[in-house]
Amino acid sequence: MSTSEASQKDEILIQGVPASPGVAMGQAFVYTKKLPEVETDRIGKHLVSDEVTAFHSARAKLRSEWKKLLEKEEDSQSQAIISAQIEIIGDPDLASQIEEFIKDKQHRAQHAIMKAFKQYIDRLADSGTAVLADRLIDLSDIRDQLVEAIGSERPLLASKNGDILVAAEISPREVIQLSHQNIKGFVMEQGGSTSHAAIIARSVGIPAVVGAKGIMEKIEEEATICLDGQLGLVSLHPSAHTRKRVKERRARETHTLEEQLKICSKRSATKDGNPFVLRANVEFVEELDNVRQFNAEGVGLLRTESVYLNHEQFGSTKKQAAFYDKVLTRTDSAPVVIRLFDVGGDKFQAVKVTENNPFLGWRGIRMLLDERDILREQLRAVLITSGKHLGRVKLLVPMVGNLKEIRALKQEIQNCREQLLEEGYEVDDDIALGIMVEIPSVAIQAEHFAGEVDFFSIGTNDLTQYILAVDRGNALISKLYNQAHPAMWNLINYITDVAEENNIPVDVCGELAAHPAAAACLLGLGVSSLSMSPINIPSVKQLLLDCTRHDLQRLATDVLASKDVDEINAVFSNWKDRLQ
Amino acid sequence: MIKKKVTIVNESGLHARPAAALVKCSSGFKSDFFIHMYGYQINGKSILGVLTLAAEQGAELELELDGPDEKEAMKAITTLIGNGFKIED
Repeated sequence: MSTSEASQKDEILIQGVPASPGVAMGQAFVYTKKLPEVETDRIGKHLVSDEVTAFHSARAKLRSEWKKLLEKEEDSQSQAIISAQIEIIGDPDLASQIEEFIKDKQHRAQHAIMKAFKQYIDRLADSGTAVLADRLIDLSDIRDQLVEAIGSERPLLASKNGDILVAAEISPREVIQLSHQNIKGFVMEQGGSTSHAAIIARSVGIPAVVGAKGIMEKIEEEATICLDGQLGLVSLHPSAHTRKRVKERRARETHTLEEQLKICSKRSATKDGNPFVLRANVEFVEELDNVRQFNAEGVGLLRTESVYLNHEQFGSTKKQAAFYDKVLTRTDSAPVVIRLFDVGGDKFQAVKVTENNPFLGWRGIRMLLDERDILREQLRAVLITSGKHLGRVKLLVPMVGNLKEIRALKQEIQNCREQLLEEGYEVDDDIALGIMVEIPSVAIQAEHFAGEVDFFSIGTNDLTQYILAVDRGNALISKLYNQAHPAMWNLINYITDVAEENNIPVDVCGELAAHPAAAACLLGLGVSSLSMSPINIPSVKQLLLDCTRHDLQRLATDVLASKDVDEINAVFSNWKDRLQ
Repeated sequence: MIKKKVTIVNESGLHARPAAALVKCSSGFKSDFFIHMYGYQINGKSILGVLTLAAEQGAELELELDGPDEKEAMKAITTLIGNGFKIED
């Protein structure tokens, strides 16, 4: 195909589901899987035992291959998925079902495998749960491998000429294989963001879009294709304009871990030398490797809800404190902001409640002040930890709505501290106390709260849904949920002004902080530190390193002057264009 | 033979990885293991059986164990489910 022909093709845009962030452009490698063809005739009785043996040896062979794959794999998400696949291969019910088909119905082994799997696949497809539907590909992949292992051919997935894989569906095994080859990204027609393919793509850092409806019909081998895994957008035969944008974005986006680490190793300061602070949101100990790897300056939000999920830790101050201690120990000398339980009382088995509007209900500090035993146990665990890591623990209170709650909490902290000192524990006597600014009334009355606490942390996820009256879990109105809404920017501006007058810092720990341009705007408004999932740090940091303080302030001024979300998007893209 | 009722507490329910953990755990014991849910009965040592239950968070299961090590098996399985299938490090 000549270049002129290629450029004549109209661009086709397909909106899919974002599966793994990053931008990629390249030649399509179209992967079509066919149902394996098997003979369905009956076999003579004398062949039955041969077929049973063929099945068992195929199963054993496959199992040992997967075990080898597991040994080689270093990525923990991939390991977990491979282990589940190995369990399916070894499933005793499945094996006896297949044997039955061979012995009783005199099917060939391959035919018996197809039939036995079909029963399970149909049942799972009928269950109506999205997560299970996403698992069907795992099952059919094992079926095909078993059938192939009995036959002679074993086609291996290897990218031919293209470097962007396009397929109706890709199995986890294939994504793992691809991640070890030079594939730039993949597009899947089916599947959701919870499919194993998407999980592995995120874990190993390959840009991916799933649920790209209609792509298989429109794609040709080696056609130029680009994908934006952040927005879930796929473009076939990209126009000159799209190509330019992708190249620009890719210049700033980082694909390889090496580049990301290089960015993260730099000092956090704007081009003209003004320092900024990027911290990590953390929930599980497993995430701490990323905190270190991406050089986060401590933990800006330690979610503690995992404590109640793990009943071993809950109900025991010692075990809860051990969790906090582990986080502090593995984050060197940086600060760690521990947020009190941000859940409703129903999460603790002791209390059963049903609420019509749980997001407007009995949760966070509201619940904790009613359930003092839970609160006291947590404060005790936090304070004991603070004594072991002096000057590093900060305490963050969720769902604060009035001053009384803060005063009551302060009294509890004081009591707890005295008790611990009496018992001979060392306790940090100057733990910074901050509140989540997520209830609009608190934002509006920020000046009254500023006098009572040491810092504010704006939780943009909840503040947005309260300000816009949009339930963020409601698909019918999900278009209305936008954290970059002008009302949000104006409110944040007000909060930072008040905080500055009162000389206290403002952190932002919601999703807004993880969006590079929004992060720049937040700093322009005077936010002191941003906290995000560690994986987002490289892209945010890269943009910030390229700005001057003046750039940030100019952006903030333009955003504050915008009257709707469209205007804000335009401001962001104009601003980024001018940066270069 | 012993029976016990349990509730699935982890947010994602009994999907592939928790199901694999459950099967791995129960397969380590000699006792037969069945799960009853909404009138279904499945072999708890079969991952595909467990998956077809499509048990989501809050689902109530009845565990049935029968064999020489049924008590130990019940303890291990209920702990695993109660912990939301978290693997402790």
